[in-house]
Amino acid sequence: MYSILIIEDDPALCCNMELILRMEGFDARTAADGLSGLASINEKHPDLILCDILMSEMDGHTLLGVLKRETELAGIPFIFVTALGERSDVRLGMSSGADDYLTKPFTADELVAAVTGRLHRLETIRLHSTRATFREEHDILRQRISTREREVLLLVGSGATSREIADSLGISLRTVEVHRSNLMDKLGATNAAMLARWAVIAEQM
Amino acid sequence: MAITKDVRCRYHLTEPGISCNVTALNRHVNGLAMSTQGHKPHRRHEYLAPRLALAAGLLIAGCFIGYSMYQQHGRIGQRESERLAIQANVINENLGRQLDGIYLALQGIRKELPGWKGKSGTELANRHLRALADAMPGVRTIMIIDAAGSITFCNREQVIGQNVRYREYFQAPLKGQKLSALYISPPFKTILGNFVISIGLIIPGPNGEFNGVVSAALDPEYFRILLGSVLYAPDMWAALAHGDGRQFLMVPERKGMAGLDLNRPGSFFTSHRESGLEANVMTGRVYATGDERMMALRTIRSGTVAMDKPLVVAVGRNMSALYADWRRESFGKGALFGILALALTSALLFYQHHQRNFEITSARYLEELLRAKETAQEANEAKGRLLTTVAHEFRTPLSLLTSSTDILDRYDERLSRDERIRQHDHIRSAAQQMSGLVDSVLAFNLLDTHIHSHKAVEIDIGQFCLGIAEEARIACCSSHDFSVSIADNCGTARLDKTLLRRVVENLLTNAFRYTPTGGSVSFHVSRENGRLQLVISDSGIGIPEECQKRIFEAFYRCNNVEARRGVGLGLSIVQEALSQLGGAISIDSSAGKGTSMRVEIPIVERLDQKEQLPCTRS
Repeated sequence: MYSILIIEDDPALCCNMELILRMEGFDARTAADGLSGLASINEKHPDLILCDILMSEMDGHTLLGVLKRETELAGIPFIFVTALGERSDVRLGMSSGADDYLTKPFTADELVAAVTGRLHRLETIRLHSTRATFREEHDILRQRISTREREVLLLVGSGATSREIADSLGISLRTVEVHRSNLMDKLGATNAAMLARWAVIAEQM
Repeated sequence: MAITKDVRCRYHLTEPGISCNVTALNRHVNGLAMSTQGHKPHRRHEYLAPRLALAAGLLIAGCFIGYSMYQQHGRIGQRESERLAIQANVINENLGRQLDGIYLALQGIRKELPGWKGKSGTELANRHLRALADAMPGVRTIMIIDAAGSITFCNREQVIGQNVRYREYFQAPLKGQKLSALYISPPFKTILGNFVISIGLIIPGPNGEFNGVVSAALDPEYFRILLGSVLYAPDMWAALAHGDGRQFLMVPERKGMAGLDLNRPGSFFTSHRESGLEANVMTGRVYATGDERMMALRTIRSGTVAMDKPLVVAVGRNMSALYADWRRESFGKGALFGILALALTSALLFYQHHQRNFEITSARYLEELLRAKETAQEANEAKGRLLTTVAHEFRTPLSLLTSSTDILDRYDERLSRDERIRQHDHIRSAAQQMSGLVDSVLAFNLLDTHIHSHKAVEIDIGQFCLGIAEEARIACCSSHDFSVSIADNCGTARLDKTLLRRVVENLLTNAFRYTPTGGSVSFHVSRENGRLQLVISDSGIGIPEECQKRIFEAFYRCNNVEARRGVGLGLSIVQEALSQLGGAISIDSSAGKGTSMRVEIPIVERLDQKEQLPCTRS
């Protein structure tokens, strides 16, 4: 299970984000400001960090800077979640090394898709570095998954939201949801991130 | 770090120095109280040019007028001298003829004389003489004088027999001995008392020797009429004089003029004689009368006979009278010109003065407008920033709203009852935050226009405050220690609900916002001496002393707020609401040591304490 750290000073929103991610099968931890966030990271490295920008004690940009200086922490996927939505803000965030930028207000869908996308990339890197072969997994994929389901799987892996998948495939949202739940059943994935991992493997085929 | 400062700048709407109060703008524009900042130096040359032009114009006009007057003066002089000369000439011609006539008459008498012998001869002679004297109006007396000087014949019988040997009119021919000459005597006073001139011829003897004189005395009255006839102006006069200088007569008559010797150095007469010309026109001071005159002088001689002495006639005018009209006209024109010049000059100066004033006033007005415009722009920018900030501020409650509704949509069946309730609370809180924002913006807008509709209603203070505290707790305080205490004596009061809510809400929001997680906030409500007392304290970041005086300004946020959310309006709204309520606020705070806000609002004491109106739900 992937662990995700949420650094957000608004308690209600933080609580909501944690709830969403938990529902999606992730292990979510929270911190209310930059300093406590940093402490949490050092205590146990998370698989992904969601970070607000405007906080007291240490703001998002400062925290990112600190992380990038530590080799082990620099590699952790880092997503800004903030109300600052101007193009210049986005560019600033991305150029300081964030992996993604999510502007408030966001839907649960968008949050999950962003997280999934990042984790998928992480998986790709990890899998490439381990050079493992997934013959068993390839068999499962070949046997159990239909063509359409495969298309959906690959798109999920790339971090697309359900709506985006529906649009690009030209099918309805409901159909996408059905395909997703079928995939999760067939592949034994409990959350989108695990699906993403499967997507990576599928891509290798 | 640079990034943090950037972020802070976005949210902080003030840098030290800018106060963007739209009230100030209104004050500026409405008041128009000016402080003079020195005039724009008026451009001298712009004012000088028209003045020079005017001076030049006036000068040219003046010169033109002066020159034309001068020319006119000359012309008048010229014309007058011509006229006088003509008049003198008229007399010359007339008198010349007269003299000719007298000569012929005398000559005739001379011829007849031998025939008048004896007693009948005397009678004849006298009759003849009488007839001649009557026929010639200019002649008064004709007499025949013998060689001894006795009057033998005369038209006036009473003088016959008198001896006039020593008279000039006898002596001159006696001495002269010229038979052909006409002797003109200088003027002399007769026995009868008037000045006359005698004209005589020698009576020759048988051998051509001196044998008496035939003489005609000229009647001054006749010549007076003649002279008078040429006068065409009241200041004119004419005079007749003997060639040697003795004045014979003057018209208009003046005492002492007859017989006056004009032959003085420097007199007109002398100048005329010395010039050698027959006719002259001169200007100068008259010897006889002493005033400035223009005179035409003419020497009169007979055309037919040689006169031993000529006659001189003078016709003159008074200079001042001569130029009287011209002077009047000059004066009139001069006065008119002067008035015109004065009028134009003063008009120009006045206009320029007015212009300068106008420029100064315009410049000042322009400065005023520029300043007002700048202030308006600043205020506009402030509002722009407010709008941007408010839009940002909306995003957080919006994302709370969105995520909560998303959660309820997606995971409804999987949520526990507590979790579901929590989501509903979140939604409510988000709505409240947003509504609070809207209220702040509107309150800020109303701050400047001062439009408030007061609606004081009877409220139960304790319940009202508790209600607001509860809302604040839900919205903000999950990580703070929040205590509320309401004194027993609060009771009820008539207050404007909106204003009171504003005060309490904003102070509580600030307390929570600026207190870090784990801190504490307390809210005490009490009533004392007709005053409602609210104390809101927190253990937060505090307000540094140097910021405390400015903290109530709109958009002002002190440096120590860092990246905390906030627009900077809360306290300005509180202050405005309190001024409407007639209340006051005091701060007890220092950096890092928490803040305590103490509010006092006067409550009107009801006279009758017994009648307690039912508590309204706050």
